Amino acid sequence: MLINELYFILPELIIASCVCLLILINSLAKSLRQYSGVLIGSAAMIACIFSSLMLFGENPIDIFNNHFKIDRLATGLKLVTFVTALIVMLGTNTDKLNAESEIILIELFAVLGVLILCSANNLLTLYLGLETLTLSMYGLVASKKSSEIATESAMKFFIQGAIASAIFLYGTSLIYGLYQTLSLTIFSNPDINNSIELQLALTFIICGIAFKFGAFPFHSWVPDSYHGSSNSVALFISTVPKIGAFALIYRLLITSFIAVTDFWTILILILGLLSLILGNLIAISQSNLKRMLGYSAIGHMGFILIAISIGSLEGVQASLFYLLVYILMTSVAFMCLEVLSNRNRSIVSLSDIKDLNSSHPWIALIMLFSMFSMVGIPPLIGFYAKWIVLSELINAGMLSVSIIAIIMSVIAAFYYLRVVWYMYFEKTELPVMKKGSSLIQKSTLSVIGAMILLIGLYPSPIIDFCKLIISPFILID
Amino acid sequence: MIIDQIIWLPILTGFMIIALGEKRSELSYRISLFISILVFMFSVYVLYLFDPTTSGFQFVIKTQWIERFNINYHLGVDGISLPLIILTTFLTPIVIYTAKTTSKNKLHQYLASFLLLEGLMVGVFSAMDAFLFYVFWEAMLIPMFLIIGVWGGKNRIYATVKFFLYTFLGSVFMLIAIIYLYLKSGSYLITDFYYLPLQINQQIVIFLAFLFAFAVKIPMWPVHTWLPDAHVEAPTGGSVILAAVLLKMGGYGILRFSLPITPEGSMTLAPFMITLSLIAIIYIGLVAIAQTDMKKLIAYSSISHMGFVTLGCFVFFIETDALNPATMNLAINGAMIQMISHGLISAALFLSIGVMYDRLHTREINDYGGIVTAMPKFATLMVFFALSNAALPGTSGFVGELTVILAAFKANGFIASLSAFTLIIGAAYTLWMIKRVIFGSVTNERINQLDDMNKLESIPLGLLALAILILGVWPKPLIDLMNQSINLLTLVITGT
Amino acid sequence: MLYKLSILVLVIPLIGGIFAGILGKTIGKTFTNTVTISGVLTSFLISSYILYTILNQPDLILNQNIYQWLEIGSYSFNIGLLIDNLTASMMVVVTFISLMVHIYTIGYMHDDPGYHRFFSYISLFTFSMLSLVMANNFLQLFFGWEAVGVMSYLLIGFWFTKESAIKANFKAFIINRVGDMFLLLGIALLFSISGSLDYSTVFSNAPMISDQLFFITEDWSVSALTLACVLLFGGAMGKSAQMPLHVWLPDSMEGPTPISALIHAATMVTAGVFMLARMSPLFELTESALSFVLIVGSLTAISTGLLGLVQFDIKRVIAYSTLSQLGYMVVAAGVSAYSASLFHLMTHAFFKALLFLAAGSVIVALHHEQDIRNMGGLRKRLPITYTTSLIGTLALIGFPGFSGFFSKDALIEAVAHSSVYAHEFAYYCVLIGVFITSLYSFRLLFIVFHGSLSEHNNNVREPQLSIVLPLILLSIPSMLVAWPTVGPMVFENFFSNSIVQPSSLELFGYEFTNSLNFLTHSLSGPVTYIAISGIGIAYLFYIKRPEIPNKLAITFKPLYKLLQEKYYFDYLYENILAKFFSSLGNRLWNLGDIKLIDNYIVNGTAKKIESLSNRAQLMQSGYIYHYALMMMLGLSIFLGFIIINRIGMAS
Repeated sequence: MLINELYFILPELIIASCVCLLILINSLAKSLRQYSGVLIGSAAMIACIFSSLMLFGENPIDIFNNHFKIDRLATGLKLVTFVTALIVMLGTNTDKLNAESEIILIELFAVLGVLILCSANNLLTLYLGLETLTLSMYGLVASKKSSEIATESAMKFFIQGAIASAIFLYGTSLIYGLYQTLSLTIFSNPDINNSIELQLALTFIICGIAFKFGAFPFHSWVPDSYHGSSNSVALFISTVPKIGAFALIYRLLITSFIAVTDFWTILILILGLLSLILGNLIAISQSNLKRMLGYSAIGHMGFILIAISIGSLEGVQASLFYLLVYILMTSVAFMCLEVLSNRNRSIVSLSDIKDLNSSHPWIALIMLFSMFSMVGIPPLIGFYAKWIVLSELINAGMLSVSIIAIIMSVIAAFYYLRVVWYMYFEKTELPVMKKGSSLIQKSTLSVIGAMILLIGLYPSPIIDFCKLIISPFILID
Repeated sequence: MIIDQIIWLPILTGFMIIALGEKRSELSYRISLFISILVFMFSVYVLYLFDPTTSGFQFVIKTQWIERFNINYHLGVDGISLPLIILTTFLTPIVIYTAKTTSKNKLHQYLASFLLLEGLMVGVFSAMDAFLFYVFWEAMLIPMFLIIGVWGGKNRIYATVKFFLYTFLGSVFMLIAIIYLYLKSGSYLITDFYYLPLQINQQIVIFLAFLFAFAVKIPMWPVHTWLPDAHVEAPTGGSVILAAVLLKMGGYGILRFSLPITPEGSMTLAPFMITLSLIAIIYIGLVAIAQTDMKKLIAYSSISHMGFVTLGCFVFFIETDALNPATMNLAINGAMIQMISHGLISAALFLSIGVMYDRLHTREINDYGGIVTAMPKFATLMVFFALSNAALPGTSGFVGELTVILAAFKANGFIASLSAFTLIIGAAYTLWMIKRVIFGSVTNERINQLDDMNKLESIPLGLLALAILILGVWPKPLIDLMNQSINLLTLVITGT
Repeated sequence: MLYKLSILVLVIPLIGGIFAGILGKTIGKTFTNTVTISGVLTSFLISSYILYTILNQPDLILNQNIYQWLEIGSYSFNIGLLIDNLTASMMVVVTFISLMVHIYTIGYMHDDPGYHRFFSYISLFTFSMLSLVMANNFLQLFFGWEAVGVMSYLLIGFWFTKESAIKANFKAFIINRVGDMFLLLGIALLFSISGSLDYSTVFSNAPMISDQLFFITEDWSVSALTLACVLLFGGAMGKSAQMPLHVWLPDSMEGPTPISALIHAATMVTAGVFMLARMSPLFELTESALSFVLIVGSLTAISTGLLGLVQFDIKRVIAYSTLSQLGYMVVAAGVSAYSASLFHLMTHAFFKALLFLAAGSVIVALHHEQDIRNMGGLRKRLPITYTTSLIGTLALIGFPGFSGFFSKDALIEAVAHSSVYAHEFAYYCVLIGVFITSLYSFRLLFIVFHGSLSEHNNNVREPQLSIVLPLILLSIPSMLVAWPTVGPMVFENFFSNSIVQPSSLELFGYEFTNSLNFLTHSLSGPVTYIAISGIGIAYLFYIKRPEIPNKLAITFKPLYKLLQEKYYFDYLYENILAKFFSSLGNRLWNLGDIKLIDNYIVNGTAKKIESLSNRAQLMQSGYIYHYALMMMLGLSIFLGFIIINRIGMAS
């Protein structure tokens, strides 16, 4: 029984074993350190991709007495996680700094956390995954031991994280107090009455989720930690954890607490609008690229939350699609910075990329793709994400929200354009040096950069993927 | 199939040229010139195959694109889009050919941008699926943004960002309108939108949403202020494409979307539109008189000429007795001719200004004077273009204005009289510029050293002059090309 | 046959012009003038042949479309030919004058750098003028109308380095454009009712048009036809320089003299008169339009003539006389004596061209001296020029026997017998006009050719043959052309197939037998004596007692000032209207576009957003307790919100 249950958590097992392996190698064979991380990490990811593809065919099943759920969404999200993590690891600089701080190792932990979130079917499991993820994120942000901002922002992040977890835990405890159970399955039966206690509990939980998404007003850690951490880390924490956050909201709200859908959708909508407006607004006045991307991420999260708040199957599909697109765009943007920067010069501020078109035309072009995609200019994928969300909004009759959304994306266009104009229009005395970033990094960057355009030219597969893994059986009215 | 090639050949070549890199800019120049001419050949071949006796779309391509939302990759050409496509493919080689009059850094990217632009513009004109249309429509912003920003004048960044945000803001509302129509009709096929049963107030809202996008592109007063900046800062080629083709998309959009989808809405708002058109014709014309910068002057004259397009698109609505198809035909044909002819003339004028700018590096009218003594050949052409800009009979500039004024008079004598002021105002600002720039005694001694046009400059200008003359002396073929489709359009508008 | 020939007439000058323009510079002067002159010569010969054939076959009218210019739905616009007596005679006149001017130009422009350009221009002008007169529809009329305008624009500004010249041609074009606008509107009005631009269709619909009412306000309406005719005449006012659109013609004298002869005396400026005659089927149906025409014409005739008295530029004097003669023609049209006005047009074409060319030869002889105060006593030095211009002058003032006499007399007769509103006023105007005409004409003649010869003009001699020959050739028709033609053209039905006008009896109240008879008849009228008295006064003023004019000028200072300032029209146009519009444009640009739309709305919004963003950024203070506070606030607001609305529900 247990044995063939293990089969279903094959990816988790692979990662766990790789973690142990990595620890061993790093402690025993220091010489291998520099490359071991990337090698093993990416190998693990590839293995996981295959295993999860294997699992994809299986029928939904709950294991470990309903603590762990393997369904299409879980496997699908895991698949996405692995691909993202693979991209991140391939894109990570294999320099000493990263090696010493063993970020790959920590990233593997984080991935594990995300996986647990994806299949959590019980508030405890959920919390377990959440903490695994969050803790390893603290570690990642702090990984740049030498730098002060890194430690400072890690500290802030930790404290806020602690508060958030506290809030979340309190919410869960209230739930337990109400129903004497932590399993999520029972909540999905519609005869739970819409009591104020439940509402209060949910509010706490939603605030916890909002923190994970980095939605306003629980967003403050995002720009700081992006700013503080090294590019490699920023590349990771700006992408993978968002999947976890999505899994969280999916498991907690979308498939559970049906009875109170029209209650929590309001809260999510408010959070979404706030982050959309303020994120984009503040991003305009940022001169530091990573901070700017941080705020833009807040804006994007706003879009995703709004899509969820539609409270319909299509809405959730739209939000998932937006999430995937967001991950691709952001990873491209950060990887450009990662590829350009080296130990003695890290590309962080707008003025660093002046006239990039002359020194690195190819990377400049990819960055341009990513930026225009974030603006939402077709045929780059960013457009389709915005468009799908908009059409679902209009379909649900939320015209005013959709108008706010497009106005904000027009305003947002300004600061994305600014990046392009610094790369293409400005002239500079100290251009970005040519540096030996590994071929792997460059090719990975080129591939995903091209993806922004190519998927844009034929987005159907991704759209269908989202439709596929958001199973139509989720009980939502 | 051939439409496919006209769209994708330039785009793929563009990417290839980007990949070629800066080293091989000479090679990329040759390639892009060759490809653009080839594409022009293709479009001429399309013209040859095109059957002007049928009103529907021809050369239709249709394949599933995004099944979930019932979006198709759906292209087709009819009498309204074909002339504009040919205009595009005719001007792009010219722009590319003249790209080398001045030494540019990153020439290959410059050429690539124009090739991409060409493909996208043709896409806009041939898209039958509203979603596809929007994709092409927006995608065009990227190369244009770069063209103005990278190779523009000293105030280029302000100009190009302004251009981008203006147009982007305009078109997002169109996106919402399109989505709304899709939700109503269950498909993105433009022609499916035509027969939707829409309430009058819905129609008005949709009309305004579309109008916002098109009015910015055309541009109509008061959302026109991006144009002078963009024109002044853009490199010559940029201004040419901007004035000749990009502005036409607004007019095309009105003919493709606003009029047929929301006829009652257009009818209700016709007085408003006509007022805006008249403002464009007179107010902007007067503003043009006040300009001291040649490019600004031509930019404003473009706005004022486009006023005739919008006038032609709406004036027939206010005819006293019920909608008269004959007047409608006249007016819309007039609008179309005006678009084509303005495409040629403004292109020619911007190229001419470019010729002078490359020599003296100033656009200020006062820095010139007596050009004709140094560059007689050029001066002859320039005067010709100026006269055609002032709607001289025998040049294409006259045809559109005549037909629109005739139609306007059928609808309402006073509107016609007001619009006829363009005969005076247009002549005033154009010839006043000519008087100060071309004629007169040489004030700036550097002008005496100027050498007349070289091959790079004379061939394009000559071609344009020829086209303008032919269209002016015998516009019938053009009309015969469009007539059927416009008939169909009038039928849709009248709802029969 | 006729059709092919007419096309030849039309096309040959065009080809000649293009050749001269493109190849002239490279191949050379002789090539240029041979090509163009032979071209014009052929088309002159052909058109005389056409006239001949038409005369032999009365009621032969060629009305045929060459090609379809445009076809929109049911509307079709054509390019076509209408050859009837009117057209044929105009063709002959135009090509003849043009031929003379071509020949004259060989000598006049001999060492001008723009030699070939000039020839190509005048050939192209001939083409445009021909296409105007040969048109069979309004569209082509408008084509020719604008085309001749452009050629005159280019030719006035021929010496483009001369500031005054390019100012003049700009002015000429704009003012002509004002006229053209009216013309176009008139055409549009006719089109909007009759649905066609062909003369025949429109004319046949004329009664229907005149029944249509055009509402200018809710309750004030006019007959569409009247409005249309007035608008059309507005076009004529521009081209034929009727008040108040006359100001461009004197300035156009900045152009080379042959142009003044060809365009600004003989052909282009008479296009308006020609058009009135063409439109006679329309004008005949609307009395009020006619009287409008009459009033404008008579005002022009008298007032511009007065201006001729105070000018000292030899060409300007003639220009003003042209203006007043144009006024005469328009007056004739106003009393629907189109034949008379056309006849005057023809004779005037000959003798005015002659006068201009003579003036030109004087100018050449004096090395481009144009101020008559530096001339005098030239008749010994320039005998041919003198005699020819004497002939021209006599013809102009209508001295018995000369061509001008017949034409002018006929039209004054017509005015006298007309019954159109304001015909008395017109009658007195034209009578006074006659006096003024002879006064300024002989003033010019006396000052230039009589009096004492100043010494620096001692070695002046006649210019070369190519200049003198046209003078001689032109002086012949100026003297004699009227004798055979006045009868058929004015009184009999020569124009009957192209013009609608009352029978000559009710027009002139006089039965025509032969020219001599007509001469004696009209000697019984006052006209001749007025003219001769004018000569007398001129003799008194400018030969016997040259001080009188100055005395008069001093005694009637305000009047003299008024004349010198040309009734302040130029001042009004240049310093008030033009200034107003350019400043208006400036204001609209600075206030409307830059201040309001750009700075306030567009960039204003951008600035607002930027400041908002800066303010919002302050939230990111970097203090952990701020962050924590924010989170807590967020949470508690949500909670509070829930509790409150729950309480709301409860109560």
